[in-house]
Amino acid sequence: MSLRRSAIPGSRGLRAMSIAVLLAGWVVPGEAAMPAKGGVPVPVPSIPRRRVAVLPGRDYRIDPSALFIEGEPSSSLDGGAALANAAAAILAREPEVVPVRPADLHQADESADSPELVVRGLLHLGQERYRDIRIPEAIAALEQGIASARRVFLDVLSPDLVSDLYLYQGLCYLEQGQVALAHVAFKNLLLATPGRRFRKGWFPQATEAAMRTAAEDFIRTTPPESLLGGLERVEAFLKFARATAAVATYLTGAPGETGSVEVRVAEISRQPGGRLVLAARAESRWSGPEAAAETVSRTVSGWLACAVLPSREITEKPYARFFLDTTAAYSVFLRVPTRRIFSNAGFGLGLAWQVREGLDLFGRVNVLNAFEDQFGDLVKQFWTIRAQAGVGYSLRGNWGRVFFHTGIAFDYLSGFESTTDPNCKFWPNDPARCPASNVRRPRYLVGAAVALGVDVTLYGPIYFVFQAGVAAYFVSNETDTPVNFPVSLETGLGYAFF
Amino acid sequence: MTKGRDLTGCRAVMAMLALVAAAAAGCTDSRLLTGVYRSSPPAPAPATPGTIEGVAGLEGDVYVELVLGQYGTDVVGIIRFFSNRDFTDRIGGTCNCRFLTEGRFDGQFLVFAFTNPSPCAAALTDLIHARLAESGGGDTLEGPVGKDIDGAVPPPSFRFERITTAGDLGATNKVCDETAGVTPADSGPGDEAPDVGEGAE
Repeated sequence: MSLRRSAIPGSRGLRAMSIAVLLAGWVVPGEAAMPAKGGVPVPVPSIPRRRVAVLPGRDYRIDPSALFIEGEPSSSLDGGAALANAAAAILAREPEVVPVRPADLHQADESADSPELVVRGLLHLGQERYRDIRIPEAIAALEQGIASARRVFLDVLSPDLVSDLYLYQGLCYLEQGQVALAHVAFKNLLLATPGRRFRKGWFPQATEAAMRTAAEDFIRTTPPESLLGGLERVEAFLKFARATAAVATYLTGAPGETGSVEVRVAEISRQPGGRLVLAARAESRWSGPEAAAETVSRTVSGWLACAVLPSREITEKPYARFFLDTTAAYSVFLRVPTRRIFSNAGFGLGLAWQVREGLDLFGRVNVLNAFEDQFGDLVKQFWTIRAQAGVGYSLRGNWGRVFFHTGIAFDYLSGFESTTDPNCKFWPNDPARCPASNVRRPRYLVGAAVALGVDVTLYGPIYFVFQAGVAAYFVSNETDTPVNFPVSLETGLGYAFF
Repeated sequence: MTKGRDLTGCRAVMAMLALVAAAAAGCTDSRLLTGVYRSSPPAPAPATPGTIEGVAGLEGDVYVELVLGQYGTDVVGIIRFFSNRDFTDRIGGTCNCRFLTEGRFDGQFLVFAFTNPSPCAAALTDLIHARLAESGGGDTLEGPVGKDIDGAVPPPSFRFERITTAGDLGATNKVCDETAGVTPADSGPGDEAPDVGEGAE
């Protein structure tokens, strides 16, 4: 197989273009440029902006019969690039969005040891080895170049460079007689640069046939979603571009007939985990460049209308709406029919609903067991079931909240019996020794309660709670409310529901 | 200014602690004397009778049982009288038992009174007094029992030892039928004396 070992059309002038781009980077003012008014620079306040990557538009409507053309291939704007331009234009209208084009990222890395220069060196090495018919060494250099190029997304930033890598890789494989591998290499070439055309007659007939066959197979088998090689690689690219969303546009199908326009907008989810999700998708029949641009414009605008932009972000930390706590509770009645106050201990369960800032509704239940008093005036231990409900006033912060609760209180005293008559303690069931009037038996108490407490955030929604409260009862089954004014202390843990 | 605020805070904390301490006071031993005691000389001597001077029927040999309920400083209970060292035979002509009145325990001395059981009449207002010193963690009570325990010549002392603690005190221990007992001679041969308080409510 004989080849004309000269520069491949399409790669010519790349170096010159790169230099031009580098120079342009020095000349074109950045977005921080300040408009001059009367010769005096006016500082423009910077606003937070969301970076959205616009992936290269690709026109996959490849005509295998037109892969080789007479004369020098033109570099006119293809349909895919026009779609990407349309998407970038829509994004650029939104003040809070910065469209990031591959060219922007490409310009950003101009250092001498940039990966692109390394890859370009590997390409040149591969070309030299190819011309010297040292095919295995050429393939090694080219594969190393391809791997490096993919790692730094040169297939997006500098597709012509990657296209050359695949081209020479395919030529090398053909030279070795590995047609299948050459086929894959040519398909990858078309994936990177679907609009690339070659001068007819430049390559041997067999090579042209192999490349044409690859183009035919590409149309049939390569899905457009394989752009960038999958979602994980798109995620990596967004990280590389410091962007949170990407817009991809491409044309598929047979050229000029039943092709279709496809638009995809993928963005990093704001949910925990932050995986890439497809935020918008549109597909329409190809009916001309204007209609295709309209499809892109409509899709990107629709996504922008609902996209989370800096000004739409909820910057205020959401506060919890519900507070559920369980506590250990201690209580004493300040007025008792016994000669000494007695202890009550148990647990509490509370729920507060933060209706609005500063105001909450609460409900609370305590179950308390009474302990023997010093003189044994309590004939026996008893249970108190205390229920409270009302409204609360609170101050909240990132650390937790302070609240003041007021409401109604109800106590049910299960088996309360007290007496100061020792005969009633020794002979509680002997009416001769213990008249019934000597024993107090309040059963229920109704009144009002207030409580002051604090919730201190421990970790996430879990918080420590402490509260102190007092109640006053006005209604009882006994006329003089012999048990009254319970003071209670509670401490425990709670969980805040958002 | 800061110092004053600190003092206010300290007072609040102290008040809270005092409240908790007062409430926890119920945990102190307020049932020290609750239980059943029987008169007995110091071991290992066998139980010997005592005497209650000036009380007919009890001036001779009498074995006394106290059933006490202590509630703080208040003490209530029953005193029973027996004629034998097994505390099974009642003393004829006297009440089987009497309820204690005005029982008080100040942490050292148990003081109480009871209506003279002899003769066994409900209308009697003649009181017998006792002042017993507690020792041994409430296991022993010792002191005079008589009509005039503060007289120039104090009555003979009784020594009581606990035989039943508060936890084992049952309802039958608390029963007292203030009726006259029968002498062993009145009962038939082989008849056993009824249990203390049995049949009474």
